[in-house]
Amino acid sequence: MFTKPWYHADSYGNRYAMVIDYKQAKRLISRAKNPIIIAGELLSRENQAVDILSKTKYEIVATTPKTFFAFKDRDREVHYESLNTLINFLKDEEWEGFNGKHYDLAIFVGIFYQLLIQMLSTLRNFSKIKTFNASRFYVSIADYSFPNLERDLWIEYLKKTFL
Amino acid sequence: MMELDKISMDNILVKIKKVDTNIIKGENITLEFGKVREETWEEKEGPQIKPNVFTLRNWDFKLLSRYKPFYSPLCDFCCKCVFGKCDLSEGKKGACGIDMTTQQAREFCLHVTIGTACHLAHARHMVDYLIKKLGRDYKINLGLEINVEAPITRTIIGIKPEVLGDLDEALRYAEEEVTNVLASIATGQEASAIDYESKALHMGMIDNLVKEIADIAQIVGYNYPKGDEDAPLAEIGMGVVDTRKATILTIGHNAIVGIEILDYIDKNNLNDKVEVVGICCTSHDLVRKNSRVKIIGPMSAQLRFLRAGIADVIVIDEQCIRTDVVEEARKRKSFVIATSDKACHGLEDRTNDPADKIIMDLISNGKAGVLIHDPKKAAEVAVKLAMLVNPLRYEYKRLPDINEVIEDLKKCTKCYNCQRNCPVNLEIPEAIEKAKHGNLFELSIIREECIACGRCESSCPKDIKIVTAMEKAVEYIVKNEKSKIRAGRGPIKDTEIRKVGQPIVFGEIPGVILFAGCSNYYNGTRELGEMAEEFLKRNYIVVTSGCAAMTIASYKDEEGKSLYEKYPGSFDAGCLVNLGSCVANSHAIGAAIKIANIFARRPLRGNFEVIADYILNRVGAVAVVWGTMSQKAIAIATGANRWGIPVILGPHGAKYRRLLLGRRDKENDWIVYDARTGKRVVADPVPEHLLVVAESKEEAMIWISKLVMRPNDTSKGRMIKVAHYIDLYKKFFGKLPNDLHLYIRNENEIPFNYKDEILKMLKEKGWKPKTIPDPTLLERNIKE
Repeated sequence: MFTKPWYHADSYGNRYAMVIDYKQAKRLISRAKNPIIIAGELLSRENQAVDILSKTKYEIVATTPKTFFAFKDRDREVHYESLNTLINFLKDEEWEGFNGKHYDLAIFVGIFYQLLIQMLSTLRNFSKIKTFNASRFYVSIADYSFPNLERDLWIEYLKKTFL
Repeated sequence: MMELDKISMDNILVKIKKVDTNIIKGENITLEFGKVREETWEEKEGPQIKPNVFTLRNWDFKLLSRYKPFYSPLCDFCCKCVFGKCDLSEGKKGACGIDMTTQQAREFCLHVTIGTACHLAHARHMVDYLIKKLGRDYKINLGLEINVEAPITRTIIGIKPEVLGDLDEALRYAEEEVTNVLASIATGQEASAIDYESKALHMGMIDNLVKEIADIAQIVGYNYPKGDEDAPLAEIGMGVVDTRKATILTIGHNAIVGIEILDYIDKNNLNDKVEVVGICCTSHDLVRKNSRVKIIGPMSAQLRFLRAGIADVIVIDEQCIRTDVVEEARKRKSFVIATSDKACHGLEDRTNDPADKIIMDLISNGKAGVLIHDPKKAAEVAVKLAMLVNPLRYEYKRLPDINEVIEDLKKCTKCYNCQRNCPVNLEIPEAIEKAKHGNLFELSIIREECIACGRCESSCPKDIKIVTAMEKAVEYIVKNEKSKIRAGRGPIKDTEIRKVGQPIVFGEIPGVILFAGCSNYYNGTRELGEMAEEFLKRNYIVVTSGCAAMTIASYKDEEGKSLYEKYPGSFDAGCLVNLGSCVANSHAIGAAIKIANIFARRPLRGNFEVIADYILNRVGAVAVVWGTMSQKAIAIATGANRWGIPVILGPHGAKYRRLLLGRRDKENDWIVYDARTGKRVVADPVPEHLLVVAESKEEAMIWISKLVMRPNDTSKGRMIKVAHYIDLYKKFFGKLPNDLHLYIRNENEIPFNYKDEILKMLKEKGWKPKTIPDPTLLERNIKE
């Protein structure tokens, strides 16, 4: 599957994220030894998406107060860490994570597009961790990304990937 | 035999008409021996006068070993030379041997150098102009309450500038340093990321220096407020213009031409006929000269105001000018006068022609503008031209009719190009879809988050005027968009520092926050005002400058009052200080230096390291650059970093490619000397980062409350700072911060309100009390 990056100026080089659908995404996550979902500020505006992710078994870290509260309102325990600090931790192989193990797959959702691509760029160039962009918009610099999706279809993708 | 022609005591310039000795024979010989200085400053010279790249390298390495560079490349390639393009991803090296880390450090250094060069060129222009106008010996006098008139210059250059000519000497040093660092960025020069980082910090420091010089020159040259906390209030907003008058819009950062315009209007009694308004820092500086000048707003107001067509003449100087200003002006039949060598905009140079001839040619030949690099002539042309064309431009001084706008929007095919080019990913197509049917409400909502860059329009295959449509959607609101801003007051007075120095260093005033930078906010302008007010209510000292100062002015309470009307302008707890234009934000760093000097008696002269070490460990200051656009913003931030002041960037700031992040979990990164004992001890991990991006307003506020902590805080001061941190954290998260145990050093620092809860948490974390050191990174600060 090939798609163009959502943001027209999103061009990092000659390697593009593999476009995956929910089946491949589900497989990717289930095969990871220690995945973590990184939930950004924009997720707090997406009630249906928060509902779905609240029910997933995977570990979640919210990167802003509003997103933390969105999960807390649904009685879902999540961690909090600011995005820069978290990415700085993730690129350090010695960091033991929130659960005592280093993560091997970082799943991004709900982060402001232009901030997201910069953080993915850090991980791609300076770490071994695999990255999966589960946001509505395709980004080129992740290892794996959903394609550009209408909101309803994106919600379906999230359901089928995480539940 | 020797006949002397002239001796000038300014520089010992000896002109010899004729010399005829056994050794030398000749005529018309000029000998220049440099400056004659009568020493009036008794302070002993320190080791770092006019530091070059080598001088402060060790200080930089100390900072960088704790706050390690965090790189986010904007692309995988290096395109700097014709060996390339070179793909540097996944560990590959370029044809010159450079790797990705070094390339990012190099790019970052280039950005900071560009920003510094902008402020330096501005300072050079200002100082040269004022020396020509007022003379080299024109006194620098900032009033009875400001003795330390130029804390940055004193520290770096090692002089106490007394006359305008002294500033020239400081600029010569800066010009040499910028040239050297720029040269190091060429292919085949510097090869180390850490050295590029040190050079970037060096450029940041130079940036602070030249901003201080530019601002001091204009304060004394134009008699701006000199640290006046009661500087007058001025009008600001898109709706402040008296559209019946001929309107001159100034855009940029250099007030020289703008002030000539004001003088021309005064001399010719034209105040009731001509309105002078401004966008960006020039307007800040014109208001400092004359508060009847009106400010339209920050850079984000530029395209909007050009589209409104209100300006008859647009005078541009330098920096932050839209590149398409001539094209936009042409659409509304406005005229552009370019005035600076930095921004000629392709216009014909008419500097040597008579003013009336220029005006007649402009009107008759249909050209959009001219270049006039003579400030007086540019002023005369601007005023006369505006008055002449104002009555003829009536039909261009309004937005298109609503039906015309809707017809334009009907061309939309929902290709999504607009959204896919929008820097903030606004859902423009959905808003247009509703507007097609006459409902412009959605457009008015997204206009609040829009930064008016116009990229949506330029990517539209149907050429729909999206920005104009947004303006039409809020036309009735914008007409009443008026607020108040306090004119920039310039430096902080020594008397104010004497009052607040101790409470800041002891932590009893919880912090000093500078809101600076540009206007490309990610989530609308309102957030900056909300942040400022939150901390004003909490008794922090809030300082503003540049576009941020303007944006904060647009935030009003229910009674319609701006924060400048509600909070006093002193440098004191719970006060809101507008320093002025971007170059004036050097006074925020100057205030931190003055605390070290006036309160703590640290010597300035050639003692950068000592002062920066003091600020890093003792002065709870933090800067917030929420909108980040140009290279100048990162130059300002990098300078603050070298002085030990942390900076929080808005989300767009990640595109500067490099942050400086500490690791609170690595104890060894926080080792300092205890100056009392000379022992190396682990201090608490504060301030945690030097340059960090916040993803949301709430996160930024939490960072502010954390980054004002310093290892030297007294227990009482730390308790106050921790109380604000907990309070904000609880407000946003409903619980105690997980890392709280790192910031409490003994039980006296636990805020009373949360004592039981915190004690329980500390027990769970296995917390143990710590000694508060007398912290320093410098071995030479250890007391005997």
